[in-house]
Amino acid sequence: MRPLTFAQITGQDHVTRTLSHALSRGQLAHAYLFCGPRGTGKTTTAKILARAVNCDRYPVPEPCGECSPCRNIAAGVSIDVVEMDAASNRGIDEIRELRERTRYASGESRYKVYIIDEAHMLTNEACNAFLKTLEEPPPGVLFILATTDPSRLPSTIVSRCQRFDFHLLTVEQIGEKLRQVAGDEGWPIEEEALRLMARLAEGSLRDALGLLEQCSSYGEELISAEHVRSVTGVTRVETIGALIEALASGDLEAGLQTLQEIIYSGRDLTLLLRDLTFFFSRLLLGGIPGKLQLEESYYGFETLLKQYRGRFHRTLLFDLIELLHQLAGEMRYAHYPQFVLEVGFIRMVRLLHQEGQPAGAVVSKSRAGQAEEGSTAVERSTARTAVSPQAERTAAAPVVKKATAPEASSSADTAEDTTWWKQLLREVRAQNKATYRHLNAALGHNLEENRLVLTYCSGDFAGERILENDHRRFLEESCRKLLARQVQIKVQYADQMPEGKAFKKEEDFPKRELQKEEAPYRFEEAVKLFPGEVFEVQ
Amino acid sequence: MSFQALSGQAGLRRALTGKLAAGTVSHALLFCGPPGSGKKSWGLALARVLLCSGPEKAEPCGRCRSCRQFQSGQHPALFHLQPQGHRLGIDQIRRIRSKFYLGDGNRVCLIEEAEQMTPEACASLLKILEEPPSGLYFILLTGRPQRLPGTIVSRCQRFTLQPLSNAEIMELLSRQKGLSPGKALLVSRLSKGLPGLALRLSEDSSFEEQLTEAAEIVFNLAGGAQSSREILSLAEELVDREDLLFFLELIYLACRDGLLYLLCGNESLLIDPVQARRWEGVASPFELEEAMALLQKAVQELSTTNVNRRLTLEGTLLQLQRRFALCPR
Repeated sequence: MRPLTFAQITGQDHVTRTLSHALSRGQLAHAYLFCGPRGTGKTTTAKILARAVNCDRYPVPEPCGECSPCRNIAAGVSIDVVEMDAASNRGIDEIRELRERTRYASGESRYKVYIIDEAHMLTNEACNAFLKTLEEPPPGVLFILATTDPSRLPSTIVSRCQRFDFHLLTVEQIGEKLRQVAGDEGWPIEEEALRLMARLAEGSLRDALGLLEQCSSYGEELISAEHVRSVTGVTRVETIGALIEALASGDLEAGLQTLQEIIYSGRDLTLLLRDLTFFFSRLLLGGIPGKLQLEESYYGFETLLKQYRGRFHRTLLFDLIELLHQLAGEMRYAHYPQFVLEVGFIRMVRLLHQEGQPAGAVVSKSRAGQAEEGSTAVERSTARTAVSPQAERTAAAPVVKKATAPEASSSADTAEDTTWWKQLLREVRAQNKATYRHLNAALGHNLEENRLVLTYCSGDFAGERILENDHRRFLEESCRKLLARQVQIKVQYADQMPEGKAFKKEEDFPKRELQKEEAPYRFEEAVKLFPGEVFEVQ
Repeated sequence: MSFQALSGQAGLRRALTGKLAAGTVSHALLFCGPPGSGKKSWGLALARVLLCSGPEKAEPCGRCRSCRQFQSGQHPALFHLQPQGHRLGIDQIRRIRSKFYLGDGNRVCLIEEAEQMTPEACASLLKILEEPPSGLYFILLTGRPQRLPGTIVSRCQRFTLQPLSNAEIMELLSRQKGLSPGKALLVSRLSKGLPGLALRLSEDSSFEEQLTEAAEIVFNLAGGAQSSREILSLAEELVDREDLLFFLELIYLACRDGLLYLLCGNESLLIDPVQARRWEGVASPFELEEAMALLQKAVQELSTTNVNRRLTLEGTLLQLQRRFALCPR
């Protein structure tokens, strides 16, 4: 199963070539440290190295595989190659015992080789006890340490070894190896299945080969992509496509139904999330102009990516990917992941559908809004009187103020479009300055049946900020109180700045007037809270 | 226990019987699936065939000494590891080596809730898991494979138990428990495709009441008419429940139903359409979504950390009401 020569090791040329050269010249270090993620060939390389140094024909670039030491070690019966599991024998006592044993010369072979696997699990004391031996071992002793997590080894250990880092394998390398193994074993295999397995192995050859073996014994002749999917629980690209289409078109019902299908066919939801994240991140990268050659790493998502290029706004993609990461974290510890995913999907739809219509439509709409505003200049002045300081003062407590608001607005709703808007700005300003600033930056607004569409200059920061949870909720809540109905906030972006709108209309709201209004209200509140007298200080 | 007696899982069944017939069962198998999906039943069934001295067509013979020992639950070559308390320590794993490294014939080591292994335990399992002595089989069971280190998963052949369809669960319930179709449908929708959970629910005669109770609690909170005092006493009542987590899940599901009903109104997606209809006009989707986030956080805290249950519950209920009442914080 394991490769028996350096040449057979896949994708670690930088390691195997160096070792081969050193071996053919007979220049050996006394301690090696092999680091790298799981399934990249650390233990395998260590075993080959152990055979090469003990080969009868040493110095050789590769173990010959024919002499008796080579065969003995390969069969695991040699007394001179000791494979130690540092994770189980990780204490100082085991290391002391090891030190004792290194004093005796090797039996039949040239070198006594200790392969210490999972070396990062050695305890601190064990590492320290090991230092002296590791630095100057008795002649004829070779240590090979292998670990997946070199950062947990003390640097005193690392600096005494010759370190080799094993890399994750690329999808192409794994695919090639899988093809070769399947060919050797005589297993017919679909090209798509091969690519899928290579992608799912995530750089680890052992995962890929294990998967291949598992699929091969699935019962049928040809190893198909469908096999791989049912073994690993990865969702079909077409199904993911349906889900993305539902996201793009905001079709909640279709999306939720697709999700149910995915859940009840036993798909791995973590993998689904990972694929979605992959898709959206590639979509994001694809939008970047330049020479990024990513096409070869699309792994079956090519058509889908082409189809959706440009259909999502860049900023929204960022938010979406962030949401997906957050969801992945939530799912990890969730008690009922499938329902978390459902709600997550709803959140994604909501996130996306604050996106506006095509830019052209936005501009024309905002122009229309502007014209309307111009014609209602007279009404604007009446609107201001409607919420005059007197009216404000009579409404002592904020509760009363809110209660009267809907009456005023319901009549103003249709004809005097701007009245409620002014009132909304006023309300928001009184309670939350930050939201007010973002709201006030809007170029135009349009109240539809159950949503309020705000238009911002494209690229305006405020348009994004207003959709953030706190601001959005606050605004929706204010609208609800004002209009006596549930309103959703949407944002659209105008392509260019409509004329005359370059500077925002701070002057629409005379600052001083408002501050004057606020003062008595706060003052009365204070009097209510702390019963006392009011007197003037001169 | 044999494969025939277990329902569903066509893929797993075919894979295992095929491997058993060909004699190529992997030395390390990982069965994944949420609690109640049948991991243990399948693991034990596989162990029994592996240990049987004369299996017939991938089924245990049921007559040999090994099968009888297995049935009495005292098979010497079956090593059953379970977490002690909340963790599976390195000492437990080390015992595998001393007990099983030498010996002949098939030996099976069944590790339940493998994700509870401490990092040290995992690391010390790695070597023996990768290249076990011949005849030693590992069967790891886990509900959360994502919590297992990649080094363990990569050494195992992984099988994910598929959820059963609603129809399969209903069939199972009416066959084994004689449930009426209406109740069976409700249970199957609640069971998330897990036969174990479905059977447990069907044995619990009060679960329909619990479902209503959970919905009632959350409707009351949404109504906002309760005083804080009432809510605190409600928390006190709830905290003594043994099945608090499950009950919170029911509350969560009531919210989830409401959310789906309000947003798309498709009743086939809902668990309990009757209750879901009551949400109309009571709460907005946003509020429900936030409520669910709160509940999820509470469940996570209660199940993974050592918090004061009562304080957590009180806080969660109060916050829930506040969210529904939309008081600005």
